[in-house]
Amino acid sequence: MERIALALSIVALGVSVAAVAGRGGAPPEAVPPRPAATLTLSMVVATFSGQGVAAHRWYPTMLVVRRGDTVDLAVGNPDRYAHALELTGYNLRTGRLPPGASRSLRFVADQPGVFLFRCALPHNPATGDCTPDHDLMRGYLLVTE
Amino acid sequence: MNKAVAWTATAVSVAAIAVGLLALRPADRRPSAAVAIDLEMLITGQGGIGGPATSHLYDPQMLVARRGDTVRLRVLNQSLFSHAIEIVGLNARTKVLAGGEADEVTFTADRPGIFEYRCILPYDPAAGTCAPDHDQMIGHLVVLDAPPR
Repeated sequence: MERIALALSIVALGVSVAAVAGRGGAPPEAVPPRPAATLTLSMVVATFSGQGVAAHRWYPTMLVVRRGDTVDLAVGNPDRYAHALELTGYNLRTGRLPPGASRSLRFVADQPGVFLFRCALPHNPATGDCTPDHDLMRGYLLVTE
Repeated sequence: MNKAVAWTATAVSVAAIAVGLLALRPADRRPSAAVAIDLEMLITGQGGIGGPATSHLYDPQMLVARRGDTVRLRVLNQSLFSHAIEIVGLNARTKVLAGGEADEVTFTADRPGIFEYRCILPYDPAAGTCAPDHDQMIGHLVVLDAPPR
């Protein structure tokens, strides 16, 4: 009986050693993670025109933050039409921004990944909501790990 | 006898904890899955009203992707002149775009680094290709390295 127990113990010890070694020799983090920061950023609706094409875009198109950062994003709409910013994945919306309006979104970027932001106000000429290029008003938030 | 059972139980528990840690560890640092980024890029200009643009720019001026992400980029030329864009080092280029034309390029950001995108159509006023600020028509794609797996 004791012999079986000893054998089992040795096998178990072997499994533990294998498990620890089997971490793939992943090196310990050489650089300590940077402390989370609060980033004050701004975004506006920019308009571009030429060759008969009027384009409306969120500017800037790409936002990059690190996981854990707090983002204080001021969203402004200097356009003649109303727009609304929606950040998918984080479930954030400014609500309708009439011409000249601005609103702040504050959130902690706690999920890493790539998140689409877009205009949440469908094009409606009768109410002055958004523009025919509504679907192209898109950009991405990257939250790095 | 009791001692033997106790030893076995201890050893088995240690093994279980070690295996458990092994299983947890990679999940902790698993990078989020590769995605497709879908954007329209503008080649546009700034200048006096009614006249030709005096300077040209791209919107977005900077693209950021993670290694492995796919970028679907539709490029629209809003400028009066013809242009064509190449992402140097990633083998992605549009056809020659006359004013008002668009083209789509798709590429996978398969290696990390900073890649320039620029106009590849030299300035030629006779042919109406590009503009005097050709050399300044540059943007950058930043490909972030994936965290260790």
